[in-house]
Amino acid sequence: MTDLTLERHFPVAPEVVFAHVTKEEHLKNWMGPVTMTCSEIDMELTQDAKWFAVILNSEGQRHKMSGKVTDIDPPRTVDFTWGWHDETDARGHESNVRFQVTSDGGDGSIFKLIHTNLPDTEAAESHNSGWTSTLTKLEAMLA
Amino acid sequence: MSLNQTFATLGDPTRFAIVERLLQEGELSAGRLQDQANISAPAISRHLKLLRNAGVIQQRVDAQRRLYSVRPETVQAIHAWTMNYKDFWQGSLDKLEAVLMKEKVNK
Repeated sequence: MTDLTLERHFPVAPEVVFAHVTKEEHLKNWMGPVTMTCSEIDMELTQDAKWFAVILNSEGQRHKMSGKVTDIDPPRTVDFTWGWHDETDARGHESNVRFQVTSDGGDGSIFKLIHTNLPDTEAAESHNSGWTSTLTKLEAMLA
Repeated sequence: MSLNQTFATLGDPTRFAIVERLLQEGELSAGRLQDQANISAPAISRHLKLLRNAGVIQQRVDAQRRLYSVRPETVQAIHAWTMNYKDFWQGSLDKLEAVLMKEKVNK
């Protein structure tokens, strides 16, 4: 299992950041990489509830993810589970995400994203370098 | 079909080479695949059967020939699996940052 931690500084108050990372009306505007758009979403992280979202890449492929809120402490932290769905809608490996917002001591905020219990990809990476070129070809085939 | 099974099946160098070739050249007959792989007909059909059972490739019958190609669904599943969490979140946070900067300016 591996963990991922990302930290960003934002020039707005913790309450504003917290609203943007927990409310569906805001989440739908930023969830997913730049090349992808959020097409379906049911994600209010302000309450103990299940959530799901679907993002589309530029070729229109769907990537669905879902989970449920496990803990919430506004406007500081929210914890929720995370799992990708495959093309048959079966949910894969479950991991855990925490959004954490603290004041930077001034007018801004420090935002921390902690994604834990991620599947260990070492086995795949060390498999052999052939994967890289094959995956490039797979991508070319999809394009 | 689980990705575990897909990767286990592709772990064999001969099968990996077959799939690479099908990706590069598109649909091929068992005979064509056998020419380059330099293995016996029974061996190639065994590998093709395993790849079909794992959902990696599909078969089409055209007159006397059986033609093989890579299943697009499997390619998509691998593609989704390789979506890197770090890239996903970095990209998301770039967008969040842009949204919050706008928020600050509008105040």
